[in-house]
Amino acid sequence: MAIYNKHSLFIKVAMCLPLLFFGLASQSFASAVGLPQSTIKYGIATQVGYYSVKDPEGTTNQAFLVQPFNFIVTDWLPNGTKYWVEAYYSSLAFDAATDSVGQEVQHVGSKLGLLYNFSANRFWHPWAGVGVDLSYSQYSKRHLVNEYGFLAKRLQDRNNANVALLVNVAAEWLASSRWQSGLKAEYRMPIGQNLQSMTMSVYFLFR
Amino acid sequence: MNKPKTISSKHSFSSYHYQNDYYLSGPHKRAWAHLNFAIKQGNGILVLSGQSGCGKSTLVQSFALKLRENNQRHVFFSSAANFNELPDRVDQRLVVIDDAEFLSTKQLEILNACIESANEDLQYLQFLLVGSEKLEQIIADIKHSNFRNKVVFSYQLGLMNPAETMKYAQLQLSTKGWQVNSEVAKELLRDLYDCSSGNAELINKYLDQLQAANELYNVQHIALNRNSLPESLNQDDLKSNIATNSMSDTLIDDPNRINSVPWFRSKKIKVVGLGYLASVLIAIFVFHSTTFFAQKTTDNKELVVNNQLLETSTVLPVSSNTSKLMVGKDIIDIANVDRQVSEQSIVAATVSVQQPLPKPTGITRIKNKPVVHNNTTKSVSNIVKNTHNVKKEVLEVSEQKQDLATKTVTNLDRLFNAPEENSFTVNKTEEFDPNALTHTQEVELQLVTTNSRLPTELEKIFRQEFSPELDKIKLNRLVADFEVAYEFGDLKKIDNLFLETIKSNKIEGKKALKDEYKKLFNITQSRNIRIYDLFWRKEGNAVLGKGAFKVAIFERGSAQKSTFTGNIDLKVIESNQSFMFSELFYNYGNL
Repeated sequence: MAIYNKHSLFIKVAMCLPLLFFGLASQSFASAVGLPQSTIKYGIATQVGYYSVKDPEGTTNQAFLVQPFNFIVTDWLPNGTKYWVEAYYSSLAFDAATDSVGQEVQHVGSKLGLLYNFSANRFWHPWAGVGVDLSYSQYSKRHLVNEYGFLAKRLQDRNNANVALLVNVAAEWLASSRWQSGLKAEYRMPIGQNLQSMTMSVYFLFR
Repeated sequence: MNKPKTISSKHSFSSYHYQNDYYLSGPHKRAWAHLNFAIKQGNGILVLSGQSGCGKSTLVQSFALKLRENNQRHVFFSSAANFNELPDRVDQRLVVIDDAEFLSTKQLEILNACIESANEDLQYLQFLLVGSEKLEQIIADIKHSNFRNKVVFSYQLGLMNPAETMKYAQLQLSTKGWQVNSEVAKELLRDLYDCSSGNAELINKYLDQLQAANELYNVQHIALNRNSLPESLNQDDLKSNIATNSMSDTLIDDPNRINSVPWFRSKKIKVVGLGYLASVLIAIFVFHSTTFFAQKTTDNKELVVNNQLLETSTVLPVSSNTSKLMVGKDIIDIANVDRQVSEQSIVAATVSVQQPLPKPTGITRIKNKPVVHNNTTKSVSNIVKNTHNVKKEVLEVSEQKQDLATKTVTNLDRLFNAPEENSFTVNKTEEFDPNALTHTQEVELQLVTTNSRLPTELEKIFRQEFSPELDKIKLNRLVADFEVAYEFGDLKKIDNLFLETIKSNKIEGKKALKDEYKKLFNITQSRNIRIYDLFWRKEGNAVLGKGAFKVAIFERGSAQKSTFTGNIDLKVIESNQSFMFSELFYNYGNL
């Protein structure tokens, strides 16, 4: 977990800052009757998906990953929109091949998104959103193997600050006046040489 | 559905608007059943008429709630004053128009056109016109026969009968925690029918007055002290009328009544309840006994008349309608006694006379007597001082100072039978110094010495006189406007309902609060608020309203609704001849 040693302060700040900022920013609601004491919602998401890396040496194989804990903060914006902040950390390993770089990736970042609500019908009010993913990744143990599976080439580790674009759709259900559950499908399109992914997540939000 | 239910009023007997659970009397049950039938008839106009105060609006609001809960109809409330167009083009609409007798011809034409349009679009649209007895006549007189053909239902809501009146009052009292467990109290409730004719609003009014006068703490006491009842209740012949009434005692043990209260359904609860009642009665008995004996020892229970020391146990009131006491074998007029007895003896006499004298007399004949400094007197002084404050406030805002002051005196005279020469007249506000009103101090003294219940009576009369009649129609309309604006997310209308300086839970100022409502309307795709159990009272030039609310919101992005309930405090001020909210505080009861 070298990434924690080198960048532990950065990680902590990266994960906590959005929560702290948006948590403080939403305390003034509730003067209107019926408006909940706080409209800001905190949540946790479990995400599964396929990942790959656009590596300088070529695209990697796909890797399946379960991310059990992503932390979410979301609140309303005007015109039926809401922002979405999600902090995550993941650790992946990609198998090497002759044309695919094997590597381990430590990946930490925040997704900032904007979701818009559509009222499809009385029972179905999906969300569609776009956003950016700001992350920091450490790609280590990068290597290539030969046709027999033996190490062919060792490549230098690299660290990157990454930017990616996000496109997602989501549906939510109210479990109670305070709890909400949701399902989100998301595509992460990297800008530059970093991770791309197609993920599904189940999340629970608490007000 | 037709089962009688208890009233969930939290603050006042007079419960405007809407009640989730509410008592259905016979007429109400029938109206409910007819409405149920009529609502299934598809398009058309439903007419519900009845005497003012018979419970039409409450019935309709409860009925509408049921429809909403069962998703049978989208119910919209309006009134003749603001009905100009249909609120929304959704199917399955029921538009309730209150005070429909005030609908103009143009409005009726709109209504007619709406129905025809809905028929063409194959949409369900019904109008429920609610109004006074005139409404039926107005509809019958409409020249446009096409309109009359659209009336698919018409029902005139009657008043409650004596049995229902008593049941209703009992339920009202029990929901407030009052126990009606004595025969005299039950008799009092029976009297309610004679003075209210089964009109729910009047019953509520009387119960409110009793509550406002703090009389309800002991219902038995009310029955004993008839003079503390509202004027219309104070009729001696009512008793005989009621005694001949067939409903009488059957009501007390009416099994339906017991079944209607869920707490009494299980035997165990019944036993616990009876045990509790018994213990309360014992506690009351013990309390009265100890008070009696304690006072007997401290005050020596002596009455001095003409320098003779008399045992107070021999003092009895000759009758409840005179100011004469029987002391031993002699009958003494209290007015005469007052000139001679000492301060202590008056107190003793008060203690000894267990049945309060109904009308104190000779108030002004005890001039220059010192004020008795006991607890009762202090409380009386406070009341009188408070009353002066009220008077001051009224005078400061009114130009008719002289009239008000005279009115005050008239009331004092009416209460105490004070001779005119001893009345005081106040011409200027500055003269309202409690210390300067020697006459009032005398009044205090006599109040204590003759009837310990009179301070409440005094307070009640002052409350009535110095709280100008609230324009409840306007107030309720204001609340209804707020509900409608809330439901339709109408920020412009919200803007018109709030004063610039409005205060709310955490913020002040109309702009800030409007922003909050803007947020609310933004995050919800639909919403509904009902403010109910409102109890209005006048305070200075403002009107304060206390009540409860229930909010249902559909947050954007989810098809499920969130419901919040809580208490709401309103402050309303008249501005530019219309009422506006100057304060709106609320707290959630449950989340």
